[in-house]
Amino acid sequence: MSRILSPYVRAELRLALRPRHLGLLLFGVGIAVLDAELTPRFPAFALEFMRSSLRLETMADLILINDYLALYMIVLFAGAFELMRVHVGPAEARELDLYLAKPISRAHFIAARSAPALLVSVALGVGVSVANAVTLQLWLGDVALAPILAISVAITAFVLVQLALLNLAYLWLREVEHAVLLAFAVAIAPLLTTSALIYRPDVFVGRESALFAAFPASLMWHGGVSLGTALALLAGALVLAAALVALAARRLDRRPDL
Amino acid sequence: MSAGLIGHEVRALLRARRTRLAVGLMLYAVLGAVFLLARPPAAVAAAATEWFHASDPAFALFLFVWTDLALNKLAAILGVVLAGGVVREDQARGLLPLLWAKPITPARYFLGKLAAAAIVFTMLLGGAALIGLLVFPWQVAGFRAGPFLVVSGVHLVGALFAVVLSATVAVLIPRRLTAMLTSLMILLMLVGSAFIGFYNPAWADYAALNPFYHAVWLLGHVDGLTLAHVARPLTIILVTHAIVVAVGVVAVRRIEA
Repeated sequence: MSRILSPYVRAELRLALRPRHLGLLLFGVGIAVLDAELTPRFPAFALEFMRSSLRLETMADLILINDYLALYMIVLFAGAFELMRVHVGPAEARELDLYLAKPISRAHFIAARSAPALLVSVALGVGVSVANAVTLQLWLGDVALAPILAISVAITAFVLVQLALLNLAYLWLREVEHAVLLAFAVAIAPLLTTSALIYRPDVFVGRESALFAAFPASLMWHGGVSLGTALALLAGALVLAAALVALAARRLDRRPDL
Repeated sequence: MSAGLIGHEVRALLRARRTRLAVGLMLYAVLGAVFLLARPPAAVAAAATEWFHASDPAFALFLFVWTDLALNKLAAILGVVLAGGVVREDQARGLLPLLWAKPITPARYFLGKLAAAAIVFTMLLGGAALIGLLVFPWQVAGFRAGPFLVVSGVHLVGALFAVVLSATVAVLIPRRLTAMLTSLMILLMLVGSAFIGFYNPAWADYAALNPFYHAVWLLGHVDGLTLAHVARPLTIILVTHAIVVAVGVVAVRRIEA
């Protein structure tokens, strides 16, 4: 491996994995434990409200919907902040010229910084997914791990594509705060359909296919997602993310203003 | 605290593009609330009645959507964007030796920056409430301006916790991006569990540890609001803010130029 990867790429890979990722993983585990402990103790009325408004069935589903939301938020924001190190942070600190003056091409620079950030996000997603599945099995007992892991992997794949798109969009930004606002908008956008499902189910009447956009609840309907489909989604997301990183590298290469 | 410093910082924040983007988010939140409340299903109105013991389910549901979906999420992100880089921005630019050499202590500088962020945050969330005051009477059945303003006002004071926490975490954690991410994760968890004491009243004592619970506490007392109802959450919230600010003041004194 050390012969394939240049010293610079290896340095970026070493920098990508930080103690904060362990902190985020523990945060995800903490939420999974709290969720598994507290949700079954909600009054019947509250559980029935969640069950009917989100079209869920079992107690495991009611616990998992919050686990999946936590997984989504943790991985997306962890990756979004990690990717701010690629371009926005250095651009804001006016350090980009310094980085790009080194004997490293612009494309090489952006790829070497983006890829580890995206891979660490995937690793974090897998870690939180395993924590969610194991926690639920420990708390509820008779729960199959594979369907939980499959949906979690599908969510991680979705987040990976969102992050790769964010990475590309970040090239137009020069302040960290703008990047935070953009990441927030990207994080909230897929959840708006779920809000509409709860408060405005009438807008879906006659548009049943639109219900599939009710992320992440729709992933749990009709038997969930198979592990094979989830892994295929992750593989597809990795290819798409690589293409988007290449596009970002090409974009930075062509920017005459840097 | 120096009024000049605060005024300068407020003007700088108001000129910043991030504030203009935040105004866009705020307008989106107001319009989003209008859309979501246009035709609520019976089950949702029944839930609002159950949780908030309200005589008017439609108005209780409106206040729930307004504080939970619109204001709370907005508060979490605005707190981080306005105060998540306090002092650390200047440190990254190499300005701290210059700033610390001036006749202003680090604590005063921190408090000035925090006050400016809090003022702009108040303008944004307060502005959202004022726009809502113009829009909601025409859109929300049974809208009552008085309770709406009181609930929004107390919520605003509670939501300032997002600014206070973000600023304090910024001076506690040296890396700016890590500090902002930490604040955002904590705030999202707090706003996500703000109503847990309503969903299960048996947990109200635990929920009381969450400042955002106090920010929405009045929703359970909209019928027959009194001064005592308003004073209770405000007192708890202000004491919480004071403690967190004090931690920030201690932390900023330890930051070396």
